Amino acid sequence: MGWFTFINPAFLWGALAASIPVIIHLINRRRARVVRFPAVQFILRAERRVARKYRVKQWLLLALRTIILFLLTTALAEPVLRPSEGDLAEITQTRAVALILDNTMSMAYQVAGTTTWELAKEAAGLVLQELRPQDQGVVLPVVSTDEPPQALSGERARLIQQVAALDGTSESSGFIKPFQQAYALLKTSDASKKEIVVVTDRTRIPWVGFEPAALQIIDPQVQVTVMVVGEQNAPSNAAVRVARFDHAPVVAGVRTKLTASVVNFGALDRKQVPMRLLVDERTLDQRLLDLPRGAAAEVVFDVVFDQPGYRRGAVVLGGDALPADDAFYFTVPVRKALRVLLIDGDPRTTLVASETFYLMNALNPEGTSRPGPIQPRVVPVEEAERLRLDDYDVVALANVLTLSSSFRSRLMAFVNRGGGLWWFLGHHVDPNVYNRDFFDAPTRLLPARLGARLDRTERHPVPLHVSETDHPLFKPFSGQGREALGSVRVQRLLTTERASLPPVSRVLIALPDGRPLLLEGKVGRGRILMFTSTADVDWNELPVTTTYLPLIQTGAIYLAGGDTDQRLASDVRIPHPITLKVSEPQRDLPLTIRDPHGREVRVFPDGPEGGAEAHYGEARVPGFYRLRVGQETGLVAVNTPLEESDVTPIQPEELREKFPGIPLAIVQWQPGDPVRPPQVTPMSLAGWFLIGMLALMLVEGVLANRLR
Amino acid sequence: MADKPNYFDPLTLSKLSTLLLRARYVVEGLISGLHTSPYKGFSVEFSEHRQYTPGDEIRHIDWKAYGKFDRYYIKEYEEETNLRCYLLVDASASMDYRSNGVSKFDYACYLGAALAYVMLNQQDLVGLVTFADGIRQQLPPRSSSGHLRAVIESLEQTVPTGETNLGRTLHHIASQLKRRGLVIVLSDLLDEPAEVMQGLRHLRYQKHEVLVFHVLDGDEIAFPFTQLTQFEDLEADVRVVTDPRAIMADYQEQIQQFIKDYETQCRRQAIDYTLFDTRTPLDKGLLKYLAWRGA
Repeated sequence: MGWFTFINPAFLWGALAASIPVIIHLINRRRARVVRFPAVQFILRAERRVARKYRVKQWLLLALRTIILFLLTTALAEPVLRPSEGDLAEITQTRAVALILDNTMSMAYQVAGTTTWELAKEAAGLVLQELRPQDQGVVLPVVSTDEPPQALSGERARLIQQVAALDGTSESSGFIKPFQQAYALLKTSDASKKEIVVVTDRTRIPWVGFEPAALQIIDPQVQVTVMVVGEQNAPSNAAVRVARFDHAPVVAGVRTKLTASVVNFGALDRKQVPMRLLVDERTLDQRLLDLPRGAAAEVVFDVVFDQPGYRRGAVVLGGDALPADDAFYFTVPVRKALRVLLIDGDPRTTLVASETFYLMNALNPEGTSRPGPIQPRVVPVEEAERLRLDDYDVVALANVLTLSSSFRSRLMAFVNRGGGLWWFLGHHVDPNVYNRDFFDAPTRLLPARLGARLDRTERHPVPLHVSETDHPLFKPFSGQGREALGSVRVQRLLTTERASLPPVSRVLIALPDGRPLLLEGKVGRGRILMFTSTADVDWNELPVTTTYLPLIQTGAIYLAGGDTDQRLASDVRIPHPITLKVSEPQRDLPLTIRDPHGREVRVFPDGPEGGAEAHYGEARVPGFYRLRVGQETGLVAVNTPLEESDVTPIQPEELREKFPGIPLAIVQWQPGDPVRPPQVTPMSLAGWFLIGMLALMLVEGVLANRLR
Repeated sequence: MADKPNYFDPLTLSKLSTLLLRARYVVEGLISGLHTSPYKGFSVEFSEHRQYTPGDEIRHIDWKAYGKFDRYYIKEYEEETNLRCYLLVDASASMDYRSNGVSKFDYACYLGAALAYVMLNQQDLVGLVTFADGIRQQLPPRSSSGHLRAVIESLEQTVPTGETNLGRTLHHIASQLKRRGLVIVLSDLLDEPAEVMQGLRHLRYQKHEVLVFHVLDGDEIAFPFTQLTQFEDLEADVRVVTDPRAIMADYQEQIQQFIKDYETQCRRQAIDYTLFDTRTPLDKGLLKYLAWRGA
């Protein structure tokens, strides 16, 4: 098109407006008013003298006005000096832009009261503003529930509106999926220039696992621009990673420890960070904590719950730039008491002589007059066979000769469902019978095959060897308490066949010669402990040491906690769904879930008989979700994804390595910056056209004034 | 307080019902404005005595009365007149143009009627000639009180039409008038100026005093048209489409030259020339006449 071309050629239609002066002139000529006048002779004379000259001026004026309008409309079409072919393509080509907008939790990072998410939306809006009428765009939030994603659209205003309506999330997600969607959408476009613009913060997390091979579709012609918004300096963020009780179940009145794990993901040391423990929205305890950069720390709170029931709590860290992960929410079912059934295989007429005397006293030192949090009941084998085992949390068998087949079956079912079983051996125990009934049976209730009885000759106490010091069983013996787990004289025990030790079994306490004294096994959801000696002082002196009471109490609590963690998922992370196992009587009832915002959703359990589960996949907000099935209620605590707390920045070189062979631009964007890298800017003639128009308007003005 | 209507304003007068009424308003209004009677003067017929007041001319003191009464008395006289006035009113079609509600012909009629009213009150003889391409109506000069009505009726019944032939008409009238007197020409003079001047010279040759009241519409002088216009001549079948803005300057130059030429030519011939825009208050014409009469 000659020496120049137009950026918006559509405006050239406006050049038709140049005919307006001619049209007006013709209309005016037709509409000449008629005046009957006496002095026409003078008019005629004047006409003859000046009209020709005047007409020339009139035509000149008409031409000027026509040119002025032509220049104006042509200037709107943005004439540019015809650039080189490459530059011309840059100017006139149509663009298709896939805008990937990072709306993960880390975008809630605040700098000077403004979140990275707000900056990202502003930058995204500017990217979309750059779209011209012939361009196309699509907005792809990194965390999105839209399936399939939206198509490319030329409606710029709608795209901008879509970005404005987007909210940040508390979720975590990577860039692989939105990149796949972007490449797939751009593949369908016939635009001459295709671009992917990623608006994100500097965190490395969403790029973890991002490899070209994972994308499946790659078009090296697509320009990728990563616009980094938000914190420019070393980021600062600490998060409560998790908070756990040292044992389960938690029983009302029993002091329990809650250990909160805190991580400083930031690049700065943090000192005197306040931490609070809240239970039922009341602050129970608070601490100050020093957190070196990149370090993790644990804070232990001592908690005693005075009332049973489902309790909700939170460990809250003092505010930082990313407050979303400063709280860790948890729920805890607090039991009123533990019920332990002690089956005495060698009952005597006096309690002291009974096999379970020491057990009874260890579990409930206050005696029957004052029930404690652990409530033991001693029964002989015959009576035990008549009892419902589901009424107890733990069953302890002390020097029991044998059990009936039906009781064995019930005991197996009990353990499978999560009940605790504690074996104490003795002279009534026949290894062959035990191995047959409890080790070689389909449900293996013995942690190890029993061997021969061993009489030990040492006259002095021997030290006990603990293989796993961090086992919950030994929590009371951690720190200074380690002294309590000292030496014990063991005169006799039943050996176990080490080679037959099942994979789920492990030795917890052993004698110096390696012979196991306490073993742990697992069946179904239940836990099993086996003490290879007696519960009383017949074969060993443990019951009369300071080790006995804490060991027995902790063991009972540990055994009772077999299924506690399974009943409710206590550490649910966004966006993992909440799954709740539903008992058969409740499988036809709807599960009502109320999220932290108060919105209620109903889901119906599904699955085979005996295994019905209710799934809730909408836990996208951290906090407490109240569950209700029929008359039963429960609580689930949902927390932010831990990986999003890691605000470690990705370096540009690292980012470039992820795009081999792909044109990549990394732009550090700040408010006020342009959103696109410097472009080819053809020399615009619009300004010159407008100057020319103004000059002609000046001439026109003078000429028109003279004609008046 | 509401303004009193200005009865010298032609537009105001046009709202009055009859020409007689209009003439009376003009004249009475003028007289009340002058505070002295135009009908009293120092002519030959004694009217009355009045006491001398400072400022009176000493030559008018009646010394005989002073001898008798030892007081100064001024003799006043009834004005004597034998003036014959001919009102020549142009009734051609071009006089029918109006831009503000009062046509040039209307204006000429108002002026003529007012003059007739004044003159007849002074016992002057007033005659009327209306003309276009020739004399259309003629009333011989009379001074009777009923003559005013005849003059006014004649003016009221006249409709301006036809082409102007002022030069020939003036020649014709000049040859008709046997006794010399005052000839007042009320016309737009839109004719060949040379011929018009010939006619006026003829009148002067006959020893007539001639007053030319040149009546033009404001539009004819200012030419205030702005948009493309087709001008059609009121007398001839001539049309011209033009942009008035283009020719305005030239037109104005011509019309001013036209007026100036008449003014110069009249002065040379001792003809009293006065230009009247149809917006000009009518007292200007009367004052002009009275000034002439006084002189």
